[in-house]
Amino acid sequence: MTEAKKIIIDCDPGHDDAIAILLAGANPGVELLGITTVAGNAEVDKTTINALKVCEIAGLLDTPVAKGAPQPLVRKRETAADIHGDSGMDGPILPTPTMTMSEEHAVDFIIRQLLASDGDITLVPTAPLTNIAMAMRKEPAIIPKIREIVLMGGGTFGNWTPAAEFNIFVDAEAAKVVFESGVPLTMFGLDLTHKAQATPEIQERIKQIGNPISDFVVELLQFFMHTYKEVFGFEGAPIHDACCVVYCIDPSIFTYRDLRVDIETKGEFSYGMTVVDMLGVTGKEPNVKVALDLDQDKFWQLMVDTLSKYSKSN
Amino acid sequence: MKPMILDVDTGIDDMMAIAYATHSPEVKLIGVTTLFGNVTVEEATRNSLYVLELLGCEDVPVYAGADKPLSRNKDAYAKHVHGDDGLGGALLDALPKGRAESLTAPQFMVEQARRMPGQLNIVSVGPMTNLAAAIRLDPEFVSLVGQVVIMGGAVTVPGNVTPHAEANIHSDPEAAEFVFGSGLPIKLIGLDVTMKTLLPRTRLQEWRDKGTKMSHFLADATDFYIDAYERFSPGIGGCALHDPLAVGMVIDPTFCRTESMPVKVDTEGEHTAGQTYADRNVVPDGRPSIDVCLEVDAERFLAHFMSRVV
Repeated sequence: MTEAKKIIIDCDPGHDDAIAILLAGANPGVELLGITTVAGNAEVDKTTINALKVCEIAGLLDTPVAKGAPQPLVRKRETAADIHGDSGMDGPILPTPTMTMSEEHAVDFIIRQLLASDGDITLVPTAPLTNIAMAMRKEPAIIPKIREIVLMGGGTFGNWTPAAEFNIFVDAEAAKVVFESGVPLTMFGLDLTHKAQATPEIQERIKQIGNPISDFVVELLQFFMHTYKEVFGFEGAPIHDACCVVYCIDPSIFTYRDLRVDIETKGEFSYGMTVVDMLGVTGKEPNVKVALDLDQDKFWQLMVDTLSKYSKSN
Repeated sequence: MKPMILDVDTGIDDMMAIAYATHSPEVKLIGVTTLFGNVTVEEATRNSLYVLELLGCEDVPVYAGADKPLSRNKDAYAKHVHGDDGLGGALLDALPKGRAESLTAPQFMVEQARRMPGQLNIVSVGPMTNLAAAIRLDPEFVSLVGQVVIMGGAVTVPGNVTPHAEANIHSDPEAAEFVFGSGLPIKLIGLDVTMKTLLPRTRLQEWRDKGTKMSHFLADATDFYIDAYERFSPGIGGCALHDPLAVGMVIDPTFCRTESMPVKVDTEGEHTAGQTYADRNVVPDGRPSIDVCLEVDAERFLAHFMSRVV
């Protein structure tokens, strides 16, 4: 068995962020060093509480949760209450967490972990890239230490504007810092994540697992499926952020292309767009591994297998 | 016969468009106007004059227009696609006998639009700078022109000079944005359809078999053009008939299916300037709609083009 991949999840839970955490918490393929939070789907105080709630229900009591940036680098904060509800994770009712967050700021946590590492830590941002960009600016020495950044964001079309996906749109300046950093980047954008839809049939399979965590995941998916149907007319719940963690566990589930991706920060209509050079017209070297397709059977089997590892009586 | 002005930045496919137009009895080419784009405006004027002379159409007057975009700098030309001379090297230092008229391109457009209200067809296959200037020159120009067929944009498909921008729009995004919102009766022939009208290299032999100076010239230039296409898209086996399709839409408007929609152009983006946006499903803001070509009967068009061009 290969060594578990060390990861830090930088997130804004978030229904799909919660599923990403739950996968990382139970799958031996990854070692979850910590969770950092940021403003995104909801305000950072809310996403931090949500992260603590998820850790507590999953029994991840020793996993550090460090709160990060309350707003983007330059722009005004924007949240996604129409998709995730006011709390950022509406739907399931969870007890108030007894776990507390780390005293360290998310940016400092990321810097400390990376500097102390042998260059073997993968960052998994599933939210606006504010914390990652701030960490790179605060301590540039971390940049060569990052093994890989596996992020959920962007795509060749948008879900917040016609051009831009939410995570990149919320802090495009931060995304520009990260995409131009030279760190190996793997991007799970909407082209891929919209193919990772938990349909009612998939939800039934997860329900059959029958442990408290699988029940919680089904509640998350039901709320998420409802808003996605209302806002976008989808028939299933796309579990965007979880794709990044699945990749860390088994990259062979996806197919990729190495492409040039630039972040637009100036256009009136195109702010926050990941400008993906699909046809190679810019002549620039590729800087991103873009995930474009997935093996549905293997993907959902990994999901079911991992959630089954949680005990029946958590 | 439909009176037509061809607004060109000649260019290999511009040359094909000129040849196609002069050989088509449905249209009367009353003038060729030139501007910067694939090449400089001086080169575009020289090439247009030379091609018209090769075609035996010395009587078609040529009017030179814009040498640069409305508000940007122009320092790079498409020599890698169209060759140093703009004609794939086929020119071999030859020079035209004639020269451009004294009127500028926008002046000629305005003059002709006034002379035949509602009748004039303008086919614009370069940047939209001359058109923008004509609109500014005469505020009634917009209502006097019969129709403007524009080769430009990529409304539903990727671009060809940046991930989202097509070359003619990218060369002068401000001009395109202004022209699309001006109220001119526009048909837009973008990469949406022109990348589907491929001329296979195997068909060039038909031109060589024809054995005229023009047919050999055209075949040699097009060989160069297809080489460029092969470099960008290995295995493509041909070149797109961008500019000829715009002429084709005047000859027979049923070559393409169009949809009416407002189209906007990004003028601010660092990476997206020149991107064309279809403003569909959006609250109307009073911007006029234009007819955007979304499907093309490529086989029928190619057959028609090949039957006429040499």
